[in-house]
Amino acid sequence: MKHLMALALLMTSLTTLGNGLSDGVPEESASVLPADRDIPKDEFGKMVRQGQLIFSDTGQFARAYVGNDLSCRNCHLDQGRKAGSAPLWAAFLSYPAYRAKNHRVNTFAERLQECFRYSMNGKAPPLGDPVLVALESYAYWMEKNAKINPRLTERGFPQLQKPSSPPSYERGKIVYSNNCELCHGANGRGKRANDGHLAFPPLWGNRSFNWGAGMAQLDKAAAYIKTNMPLSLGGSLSNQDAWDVAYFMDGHDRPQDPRHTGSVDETRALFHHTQNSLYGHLVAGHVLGNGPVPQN
Amino acid sequence: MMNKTKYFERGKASLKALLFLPLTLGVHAESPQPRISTEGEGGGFSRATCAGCHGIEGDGNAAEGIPSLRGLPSTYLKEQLYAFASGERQSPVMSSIAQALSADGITLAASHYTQLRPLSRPLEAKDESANDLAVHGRWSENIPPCDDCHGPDGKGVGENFPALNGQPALYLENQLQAFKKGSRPSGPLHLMGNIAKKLSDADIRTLSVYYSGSSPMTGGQP
Repeated sequence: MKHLMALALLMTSLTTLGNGLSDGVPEESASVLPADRDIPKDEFGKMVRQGQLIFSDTGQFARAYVGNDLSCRNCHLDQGRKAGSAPLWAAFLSYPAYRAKNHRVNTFAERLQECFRYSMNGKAPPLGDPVLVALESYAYWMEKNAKINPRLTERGFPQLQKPSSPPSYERGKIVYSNNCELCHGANGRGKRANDGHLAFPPLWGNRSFNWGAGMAQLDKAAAYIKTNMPLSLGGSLSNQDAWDVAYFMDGHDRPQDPRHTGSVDETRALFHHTQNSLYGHLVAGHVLGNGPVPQN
Repeated sequence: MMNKTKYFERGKASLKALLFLPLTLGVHAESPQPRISTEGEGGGFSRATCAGCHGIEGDGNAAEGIPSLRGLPSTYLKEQLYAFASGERQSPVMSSIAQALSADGITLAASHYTQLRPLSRPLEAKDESANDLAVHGRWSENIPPCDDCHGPDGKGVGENFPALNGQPALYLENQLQAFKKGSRPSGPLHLMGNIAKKLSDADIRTLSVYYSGSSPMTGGQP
């Protein structure tokens, strides 16, 4: 029961709103988000634009704090606007908030630091760093100029119904090969465009998010996949398929959790004591978190 | 190696079956069919034949809406030739040409054009709607940005997402309309069929001009 409560807190602390799972109708159509052309042409606008650049190409514009190939926009679709993909405007509205992940009240800037530490497998920019100021400005601008459907803001993180069968690596592998491999590749390393830019993000391996990221948790990955994947076909996978393929994705090794204590068992007990994390479990012949991490 | 053999066998079988298909639209029964020899090592592939329409270097022809083949992924090129041969992708000219190719000829044609340096043009949005769709998409209708799958500036990604950059506007417009109408296979996961059905004629025209890198053909632009 305690675990369930901790999980629920963790969920509320993640800031995704609106899932569109029930009827397949995109919920965000009820909210109107500002367009780029609405960014003011003044000093504040410059900072908003900088935040948008960081959001779109994080490795280039916040290089010192990024340790993988990902950018914010890879998961937060529509440049942080799209409901169901943890939109930036909703995140801005949700802080300060208590987070079970670190047992304290976090400001929005502190939440951004965690994105860099876990999802970007990098380093947290210090508070007040121009990278955080720019991202916060971008989020604030988006929220301030959004006409938000209040019904959406009342909704918590979308909780995808539990699958009827426990998630399966083998079934997930088939779902992956039929629906995901086209873009993310057979080895999960993603694909680069002909000009060298990252086109499709790596889902596991050394260039992806690390074990501390939200996406490394089955419930969040399954909900995200169900709502948004394959790109433009969100809602097309069954709940079972979404859970199975989340299990397959998170059943591969990735960069170490930065909170690693030196022992996988201990790290699991401290930070991954939930059925939604496969960290420390034996999956497809490997104890996850124990390496070797697939090199891409 | 096994896969390769299988692929060829499947190709040959489907080509045999095609001999019994009715003539494609627009080709008159009484007029002589353009036939390329299927004898010899080329399996029917001849650069000169392709050059007749696609240009000696495979550059395409903007006025006629004939695509550039330069640097397109070989998997994609092969899929298109098979689709032309089966009639799933409708084109009277390309159907008869593709039907005259053996599986080897199709492979040779694809490997020839894929190694040529692709066309690349600087793109400039003439109005905000082109940039909006190409770079941002229209997520309220679940339309992702074109660049998300076709790469920045539509320069192409891997074997399944061909470059759009520098293709003739007329060609791009015809293809988006063909995806919309179903006269071309809807592509992997039916992604393009689904997306094209959500695009208006104006969207299609705007995007086609944008990715071609050319000035709009109307309105007295040079």
